[in-house]
Amino acid sequence: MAVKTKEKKTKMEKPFEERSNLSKLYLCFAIVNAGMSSDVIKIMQAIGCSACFVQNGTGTADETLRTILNFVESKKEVVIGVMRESKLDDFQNDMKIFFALSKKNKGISFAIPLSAIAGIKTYKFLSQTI
Amino acid sequence: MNEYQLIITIVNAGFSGTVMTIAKEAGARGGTVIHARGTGLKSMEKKYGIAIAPDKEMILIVANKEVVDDIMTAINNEAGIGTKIKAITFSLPVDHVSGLKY
Repeated sequence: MAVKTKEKKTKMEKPFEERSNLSKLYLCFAIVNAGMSSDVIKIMQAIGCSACFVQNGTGTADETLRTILNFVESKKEVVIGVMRESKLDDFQNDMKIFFALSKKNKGISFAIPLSAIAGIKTYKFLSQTI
Repeated sequence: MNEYQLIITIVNAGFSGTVMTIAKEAGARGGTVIHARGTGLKSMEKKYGIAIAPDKEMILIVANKEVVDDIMTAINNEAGIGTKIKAITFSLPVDHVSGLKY
């Protein structure tokens, strides 16, 4: 007598990167004068940046110029955030406006493409697709 | 290819001024120095039984791709691993740059 064994339906799910429309992520940097980082964070969060970090830094202005102007050191703040590729144009335009607003708002901003993200939840958090 | 590149140089603390002088002579306009800490001396800690905190400085320079090679070569020749400054230099392509006036 033949024994019927229940066939298990083993439905293999496609990997996350194949079944969803992924957008490339970029690490955005904005280097501004000390005290200006809060304004830059507001801009980045308004555009759609999920995580922002601030790191203290020092500028490297000419030492002769520094002694003439009696500056001890030029303090900077480096703002780092992760953003989707589709938001980069907005980021660039907003930063251009920010730099043009006042002479105090001197700085530079740029973005570096990320090559890989570890973990689906991490990707969803960084790309704000949760 | 990207118009600008970010040059990152990691040196022992106190040498960022020397590296920036070399970079400026090779065509860099300016840079930003971030304080950092190295993590490569675990074996020394075990050997001598004391915690060694190798202070480092990380120099960020955004430069036009035309001068990137000159800057990196100058830093490597005058402050590279073969010298006492022992600078490690690499570059990354950057997009959507704003705030630079060349």
